[in-house]
Amino acid sequence: MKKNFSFSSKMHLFIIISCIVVAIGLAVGLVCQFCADGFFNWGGDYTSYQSVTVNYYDNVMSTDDVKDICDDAFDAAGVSYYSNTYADTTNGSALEYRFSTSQDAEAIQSAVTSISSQVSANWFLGGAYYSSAESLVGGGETLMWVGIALAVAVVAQFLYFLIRYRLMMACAAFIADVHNLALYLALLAITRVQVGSSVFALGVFVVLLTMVSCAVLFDRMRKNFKTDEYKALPSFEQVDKSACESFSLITTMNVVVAAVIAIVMVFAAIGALSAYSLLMPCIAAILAVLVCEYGTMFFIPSVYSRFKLKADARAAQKEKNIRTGKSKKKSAPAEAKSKSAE
Amino acid sequence: MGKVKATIITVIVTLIVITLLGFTVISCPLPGGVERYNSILSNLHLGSEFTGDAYTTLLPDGVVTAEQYTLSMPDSDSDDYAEYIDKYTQLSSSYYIETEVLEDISSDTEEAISQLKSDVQSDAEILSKRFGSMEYSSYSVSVVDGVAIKVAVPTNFTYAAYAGNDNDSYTSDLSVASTTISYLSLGGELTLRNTDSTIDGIGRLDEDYGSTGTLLNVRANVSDYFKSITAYSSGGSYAIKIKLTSEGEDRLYKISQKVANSEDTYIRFYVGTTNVINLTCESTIDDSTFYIQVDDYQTAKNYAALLNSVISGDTLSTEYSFNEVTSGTSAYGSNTAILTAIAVLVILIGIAAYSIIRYKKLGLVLTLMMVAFLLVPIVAMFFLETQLSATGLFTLLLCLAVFAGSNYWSYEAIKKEVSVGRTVQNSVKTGYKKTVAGILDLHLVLLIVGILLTFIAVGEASACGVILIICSIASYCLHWFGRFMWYVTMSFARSESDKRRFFGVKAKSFEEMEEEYERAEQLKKSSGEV
Repeated sequence: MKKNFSFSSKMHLFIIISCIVVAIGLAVGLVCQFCADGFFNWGGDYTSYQSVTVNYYDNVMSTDDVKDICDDAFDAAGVSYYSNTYADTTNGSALEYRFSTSQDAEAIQSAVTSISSQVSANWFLGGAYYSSAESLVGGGETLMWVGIALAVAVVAQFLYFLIRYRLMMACAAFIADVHNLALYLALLAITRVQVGSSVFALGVFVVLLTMVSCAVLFDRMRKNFKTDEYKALPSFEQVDKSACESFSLITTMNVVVAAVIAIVMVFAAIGALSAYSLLMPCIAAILAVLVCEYGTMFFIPSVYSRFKLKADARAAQKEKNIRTGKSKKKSAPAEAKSKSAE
Repeated sequence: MGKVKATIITVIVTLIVITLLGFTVISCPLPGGVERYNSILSNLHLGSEFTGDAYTTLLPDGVVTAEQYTLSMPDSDSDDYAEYIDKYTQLSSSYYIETEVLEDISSDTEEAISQLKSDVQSDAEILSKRFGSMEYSSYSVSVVDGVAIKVAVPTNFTYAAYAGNDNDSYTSDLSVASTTISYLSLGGELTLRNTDSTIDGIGRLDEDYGSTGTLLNVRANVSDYFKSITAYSSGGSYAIKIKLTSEGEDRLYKISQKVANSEDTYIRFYVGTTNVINLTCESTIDDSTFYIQVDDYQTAKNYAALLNSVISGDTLSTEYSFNEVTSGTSAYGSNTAILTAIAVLVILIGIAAYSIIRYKKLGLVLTLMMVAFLLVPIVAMFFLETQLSATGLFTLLLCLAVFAGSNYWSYEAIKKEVSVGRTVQNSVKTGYKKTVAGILDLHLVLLIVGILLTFIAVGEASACGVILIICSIASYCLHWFGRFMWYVTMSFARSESDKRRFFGVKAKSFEEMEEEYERAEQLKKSSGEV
């Protein structure tokens, strides 16, 4: 980051960018709410899915053999599954393969016939069964309580900043929380990322990361504003310089968080049957980090610079009033003395 | 501090951390070969992302799976074969229904199937609400082929149970999931019943209901009597808390008066034909709120979720049955838990390597503190029985980033002080002093959010709140303990240059400082001119 990057002068640009993203998100979300699958893509393909359950006896056929039979049959039918789970049952073992609804049902059923004939040839109870399922979106109550907790947390942060920092900093931190959350939700609606219930968790994550970044940013500003070097500078420059100083620390933190997410996802993908199933939560998490970086490092310093300008102007006016008041007070007794002397 | 004292403290702290690390991470078979020590980490309850779901398929009355249908099918040569074929109607490739049951719904087969599907759909919505109130980290309720309901809840297995190293825990966790599913899938309405036929106004004793008669008028609407039913826990006692409406208060006063004087002093709460819970009634109930004690909190939650749903009018249209609750491997692959643990280890090694390269021996001290930091939430979560889901893990990693970040923040401030020519001792004091306010703010903000999430949010978010509370306190305390350990370990370095080498910083030469001073002066002059 350039040492003299001017955040303050680009406030209008940042506001326009944010407004456009939120407006598009709102529009896409509302259109989808009434015409498609809901404001967010609540799991999309994963809420409705097709499944194949294969029952077998693992003393007769090993799980790996059954998996090979299934994989061959699915390849031959030209279909691919996105998840696979294994379970022990009282009647033997069961493998469940899940397919997205976009996969050809008839092709899956032809694979099922082939698997069933091979598995039942080894064990009379063995067989494969096709079914289609539609999951219900639940968790409304959980979402409500998480929302309430988040709202209270944002207000608590505002009060804390009000006591520890300044009113304008508290306002800016509050705006940062709301802005970042709104931007994140808008991006989820626009990109139609399949997030499922993890959207709650990521919402909390966005607010948390914003709070941490704001604490770092405003702590630096508070310290810098007290120094003589900064006092001599105009308001905008004070904010810009402090933001530039905090940039490396906040960006490093966000990059570290993004790297941590990426490392965990890479390792999870090694074990996962389909990396595609991990792609969506990964994209959602990376979006969250990007929003936090943009919101805290670009949007908020530019908005706060206006707050500071007004606060400084008010403080200067106040000081001027006090000075003029004092000089009037000082001159009043002198005038009285001269009058009495006359 | 003297070298001997410093050595003793360093050795003690290192040994404590290493021993605790051993107990936390290493699982091993014990001598004798029968028992096994499962580490604290492998005894943490994990979310369904790591240990999969416990699931079952609920079948409406008369519906059987294709597997059951095939299993019971007589030989095609036998006399019963044709009768068996007629007995069932195929609903889909996976499900069959008894033709008789279908005819009871409607004489027209298509209309009957459509009615069945519609009932199953509305029942699935009710079940989704019931499971939603259980505060699970994740769960799913899906309608399979329109005629059956598949329910999946987290197994809550520990890694030891998941990997087959703790069979007791495996059985107990699966049994908890099974019990929950069996209670929450109960069909029918709520009735209050008693076995004493001499009670004034009691209904006819019915054998289907354990020879009990209803204490409420059959036309009575229970939602007029009950306001809410919630799970309650206090000081190791568990109960369900029942709040009554004013009408319910009057009604229960009269009922309890009669029951208290009868031979059977229980008010039996039935949902459908199942006796869910009994209220011992030795005296009259004249309060708008009362409690019924249960054995554990999970049972209280099961009863509360079921009864609260039923009193709100959400009753299932039919009785559902299921074969068994099965636990499947994680949908992300059976080794997700172990690979995630390796990923966390890689992250830790990465941070440690960066710290050691950048801060030399001080990096080692920080690594020791980081290990100690990670042990605190793991041990705390083990004792609090908090479930670690993927979100919880990310919260933990975020806190690790905050812990490492706040230490780096202080170290950089100290480096800055040293680079302007101060002594290391003085720089440490000044550097920590300069960053203390910011670091305190950071931790306080996390602590406040953690407290609010714990006490206001539910389920996974509440667990994240607990992790935040533990981690923010541990991080702040260990930040200062790290400062103390720096002081201790720095005692080995006597000279100023040794101290600088200890955390890999060079003091600026006199010429460099002079140049910097001149540059600053020039800057001041130029700004003064402006």
